[in-house]
Amino acid sequence: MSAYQINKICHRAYHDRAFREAVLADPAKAIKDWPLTDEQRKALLEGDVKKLYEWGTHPFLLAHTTRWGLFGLTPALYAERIKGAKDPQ
Amino acid sequence: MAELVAAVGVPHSPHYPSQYPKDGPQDTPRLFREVKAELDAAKAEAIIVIANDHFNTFFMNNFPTFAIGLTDAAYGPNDQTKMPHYDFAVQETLASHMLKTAMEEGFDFAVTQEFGVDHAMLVPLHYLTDGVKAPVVPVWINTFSAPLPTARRCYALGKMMERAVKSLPQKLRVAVIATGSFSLEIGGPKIDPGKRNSVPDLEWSRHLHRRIGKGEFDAIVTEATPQQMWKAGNIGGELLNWVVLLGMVGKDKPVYLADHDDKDGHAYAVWRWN
Repeated sequence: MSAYQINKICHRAYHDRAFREAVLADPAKAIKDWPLTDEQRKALLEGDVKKLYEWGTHPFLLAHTTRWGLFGLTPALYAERIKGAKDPQ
Repeated sequence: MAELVAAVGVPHSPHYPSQYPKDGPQDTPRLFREVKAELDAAKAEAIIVIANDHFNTFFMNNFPTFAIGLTDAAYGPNDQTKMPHYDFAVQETLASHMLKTAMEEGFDFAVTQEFGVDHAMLVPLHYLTDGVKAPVVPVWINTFSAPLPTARRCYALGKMMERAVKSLPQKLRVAVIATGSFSLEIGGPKIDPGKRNSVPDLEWSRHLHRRIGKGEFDAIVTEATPQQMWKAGNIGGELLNWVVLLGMVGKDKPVYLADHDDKDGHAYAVWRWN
């Protein structure tokens, strides 16, 4: 299971304002057509950054989410959840 | 023949321009001004910038290990860094000669002929020049998305780049700026509570600063293993931008080396010739 599509979503949200606003307005709808596994989709919508990181999402891209609170992620919440995450293999 | 007149190493933190005006009283803009005074005195007619992209010029669909910008004009920042927009010229003759030399010597640069650059190149250029008037040659190193090139390879790349500059058959005063943190984590498990980042290995950063001051560059190349750089944070690979610069510098000690910046784990250094 590659993290490429999750990386791509984080990248798109940072660079594409319309997509970012769609994610803010209705995250599930905004990522509906992206080719994610059910597990990936669930983790992203729940802002489970520990899992996303362990699957290989690039931390610099993942941390972009906190700039706008995407997927409910504030900097404080992000920092709390990423604690103890294992480095991807 | 072209000559190398100055080499500069500085950080590129994207929050600096919005926090610290160029003429501000804080340590950060003061250190940039001290470096700028040296660079101004070197009267460079072209500036090579060695930095890593942060998925702004390139993305994972096509991410180069080593890349060079080969065109006549570029712009930035192409990320969301709060700083002035710059349109700047690219020194195409030098870039083209560097590419040709690289290929002949077995360094296979990727080439982009249309691009913007992110904060990694523009924050240093913002502080160290008056509006990016001298043409630039951008060189990107993947210090950011594992697996990274080895320190040994980056050092050799720098030595090749020095030969490339010095074999350009025209008069041109060339400066080089490399930029990066020695220890930095962003968004990974080593970040500080409530923050986006941390400096996980301040002692490593201080150690590198001491080595640079003593001209012990070979030792840095040996010590900068993937494991050590990762221990210094997921952005700790940015040391490799400096390693390329050290390859260009030869054996000389810097003429300017600011005290180690313990707050951010940063160094500011200048070499001058001619």
